[in-house]
Amino acid sequence: MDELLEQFLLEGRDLVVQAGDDCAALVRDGSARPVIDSAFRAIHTLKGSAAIVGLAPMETMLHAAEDLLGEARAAGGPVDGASAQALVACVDQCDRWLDAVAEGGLPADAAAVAARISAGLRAVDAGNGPEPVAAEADDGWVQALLCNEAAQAAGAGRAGRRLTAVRYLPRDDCFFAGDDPLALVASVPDLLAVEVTAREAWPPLDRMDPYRCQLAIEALSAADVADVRGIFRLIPDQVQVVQVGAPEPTGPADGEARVVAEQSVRVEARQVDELLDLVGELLVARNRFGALAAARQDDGHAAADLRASGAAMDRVLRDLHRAAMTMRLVPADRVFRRIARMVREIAPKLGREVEVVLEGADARVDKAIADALFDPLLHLARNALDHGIELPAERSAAGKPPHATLTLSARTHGNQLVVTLADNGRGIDPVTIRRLASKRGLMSAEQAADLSDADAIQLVFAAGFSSAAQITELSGRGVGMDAVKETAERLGGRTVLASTVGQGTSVSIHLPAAAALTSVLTVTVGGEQFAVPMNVVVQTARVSAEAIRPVGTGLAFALRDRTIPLLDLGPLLGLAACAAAGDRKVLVVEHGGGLVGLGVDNFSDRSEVILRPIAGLLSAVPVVAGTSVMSDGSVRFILDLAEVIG
Amino acid sequence: MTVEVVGDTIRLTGRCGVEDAERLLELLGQGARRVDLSGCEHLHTALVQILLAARAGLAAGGAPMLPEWLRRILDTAERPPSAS
Repeated sequence: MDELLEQFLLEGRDLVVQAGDDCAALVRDGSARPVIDSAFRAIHTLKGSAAIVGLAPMETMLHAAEDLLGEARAAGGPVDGASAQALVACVDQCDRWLDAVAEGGLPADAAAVAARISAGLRAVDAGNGPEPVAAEADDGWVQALLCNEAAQAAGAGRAGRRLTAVRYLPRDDCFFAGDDPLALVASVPDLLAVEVTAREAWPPLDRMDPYRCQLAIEALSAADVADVRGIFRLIPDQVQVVQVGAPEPTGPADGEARVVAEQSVRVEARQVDELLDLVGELLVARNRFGALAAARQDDGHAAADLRASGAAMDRVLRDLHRAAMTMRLVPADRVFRRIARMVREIAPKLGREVEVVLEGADARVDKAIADALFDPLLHLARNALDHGIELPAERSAAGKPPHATLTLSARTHGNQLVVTLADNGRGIDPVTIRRLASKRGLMSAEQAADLSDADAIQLVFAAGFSSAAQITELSGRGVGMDAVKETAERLGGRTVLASTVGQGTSVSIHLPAAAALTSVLTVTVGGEQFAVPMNVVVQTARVSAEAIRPVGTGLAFALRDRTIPLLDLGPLLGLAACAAAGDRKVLVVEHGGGLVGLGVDNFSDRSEVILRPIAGLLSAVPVVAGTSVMSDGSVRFILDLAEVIG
Repeated sequence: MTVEVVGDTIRLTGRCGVEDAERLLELLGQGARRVDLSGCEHLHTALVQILLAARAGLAAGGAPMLPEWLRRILDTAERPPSAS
């Protein structure tokens, strides 16, 4: 892809996020001046970038949006609801087009869509827009004045005040008429700044006419335009009085922004991953210290020194790893906003009225996690729209506001990131779930009846629960509630579902805040070594041959009064079964809400590794969750036990 | 009001109106470069215009009785006379 376009897509996303946030904020409160300014800047920059890469429809549309915001700024007026909605639609469209451009180019109807959205923006603009201020042609002096008097203007702007600009060109003979122009200007209330210039070059003093006024006077006041006009009511032909929006606090604030911009550098995700790989390799090299120390047992001092420097290196390595991981973090916002956009698109088609509320969207998430969260969150949102949120009439009948709220939030909780999608719809009825579960053959009616309400609703995550009637464009892609759960687990997390009938449902995905170092246990199976993530291992056990009993077609053993099915890991991986007689070594792992024993040849050391996602050919092998370089330099597969057990 | 000359400094005191314009211009034309506004309570626009045209500098003591914006205007007026 063209480098310029690539850069545009990167920056465009950020700008769309910013503009989207601001416009959404304006829907709630159209008078927030800093928000208007921020939206204006984001849209202005986006427009410029779109022009550079030749996306004319996007440029046209953003131009209309910029005009709307520009006028609101100039007039110091609020952005009304209709305008804010039109802006949201415009930004959403940009977001869609960024997707399209990333995939090849703008759709064929882009120009028509741009024209429609621009017309929408202009319509609200003309209908409800603020009263036009200075005529375009002669407002150069206003800009110049604001620029020269930026400090005063910004001071007022920060205080949330509007400004009035005055340009006063006293008549040549005004002194004879008894006018004292500066005295008149001095009587302007809330005067912030005055500039006096010569209308033409000063003549030499000996040729100067002391009674001919040739001054141009410009002033800036924080008073209302009407009050200022009142001062000059007798000489309206000599003054222009214009209301202006206070400029965004330029001066110091602008300086800060510039400093911040210079402090950040855009780095490709690939480079950060390379850095992480290097940290991983350093970790491997460090892990050899243990072996070296062991080899120098004869020399106590040398061994102790090696261990001490190994420990020191560990601390640095952890910090280094953490620092590198932090670089991969992106705001959760990126995902949230796209979900919010889809909800706004889908809801009307389903006859639902939904407001999407984003909370904690500035929480930072590992990029890989953010990307992986999109599908599950979209599915949850779609589910909420399909099943959770009632039609407006039904909501009204139940005494609820017709407008439902869908809250998408991210928060960090200890070392975990919790992403929650909550609706205030009808909730999940455990009675219905029990009935469906037995009807769809997940369990008998008696088993279902034995479940507590809280357990019953968890059945929506069970594979095979979703009915054919629920197949939508999304489930058509093989995404169901069970897939949501699987995704969370694949990312090292879990899902938590809570629901109250009549009040709503919330699904939380708990994830490790960043893909930290993973503890793995090395196991030997069929003569090969594999690593197993410790977080799924409940315990390791030795089970005597007598304790293993046939149950049905398989084997089981008893562990602390529980009967646990026993599987042989070797054959599951297409390797030889364990031949050892006598006690079996068993990994007890959590699977599908219960425990499963996995017979292995041997367990060996536990180590901390960086799990690398699998790429290329290996990604087609479902049982491998990733790879890791071990302390001896060998590459080890990390097993995805949930996949292995199937 | 009074317009008087002390050395190379013109002292303006009290409320200085348009009627002082001619006298002020004349004095500045004679080479006085500084104005003492420490006792000036009001300065008519015509006088401000002359001070700007003459790029007259303010004498020590400033112009405490004039508004701050006017002092700024007069301060910025003080530049070396143009080369011409």
